[in-house]
Amino acid sequence: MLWRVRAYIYRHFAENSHPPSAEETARHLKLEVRATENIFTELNERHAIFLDPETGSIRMANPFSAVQTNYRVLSNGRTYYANCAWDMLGVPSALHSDATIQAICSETNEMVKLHIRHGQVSASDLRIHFPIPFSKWFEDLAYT
Amino acid sequence: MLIFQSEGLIDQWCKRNNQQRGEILSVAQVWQLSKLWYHNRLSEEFHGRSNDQAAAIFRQAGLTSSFWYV
Repeated sequence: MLWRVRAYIYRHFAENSHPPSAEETARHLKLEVRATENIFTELNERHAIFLDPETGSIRMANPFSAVQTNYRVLSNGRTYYANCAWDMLGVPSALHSDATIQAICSETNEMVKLHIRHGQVSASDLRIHFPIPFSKWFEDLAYT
Repeated sequence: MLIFQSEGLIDQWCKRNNQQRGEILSVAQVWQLSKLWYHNRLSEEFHGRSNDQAAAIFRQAGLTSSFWYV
């Protein structure tokens, strides 16, 4: 059931641009809400999703973000938000779709654009900074 | 991970925010990494990945410095 819930969360994110609540998930999969919340917690502990520590709702299911960010991805007629500059490229990869990406340069605050067409990314001089070594990514996922 | 219009702006950002410079990749490199990392994320068969699998993806993407050690 753990992985059925994970799959439902991702499908819901892809089809609606936002994650399901525990109540929606429970209703869809015919589970008790409390049991679904426990599965959300277990998925969070396995880093399969990231729950908001204050509300317990889904904040991230990488590459998707439940909150608006500087990384907007337009694809399949929907607007998605990604968690970071890597994940903005992860969204069209996960969706296997073309996309237009609108992001904000972290130093100039200017908007930059990228296009994904037929599996190729548009030519660009933009650079992406990975500040933290992989081994430390999960110490503070929101910061990473 | 943050995006910048040039490498010089990354240095400027690091200095201004008192942060160490990490790894800097081109968009093309990160796109290759994204395809390897996320292509099966919506699959019901995706149950996470082991450190060995993560390391293999980094190698396949040409990311071999100690920054990418798992």
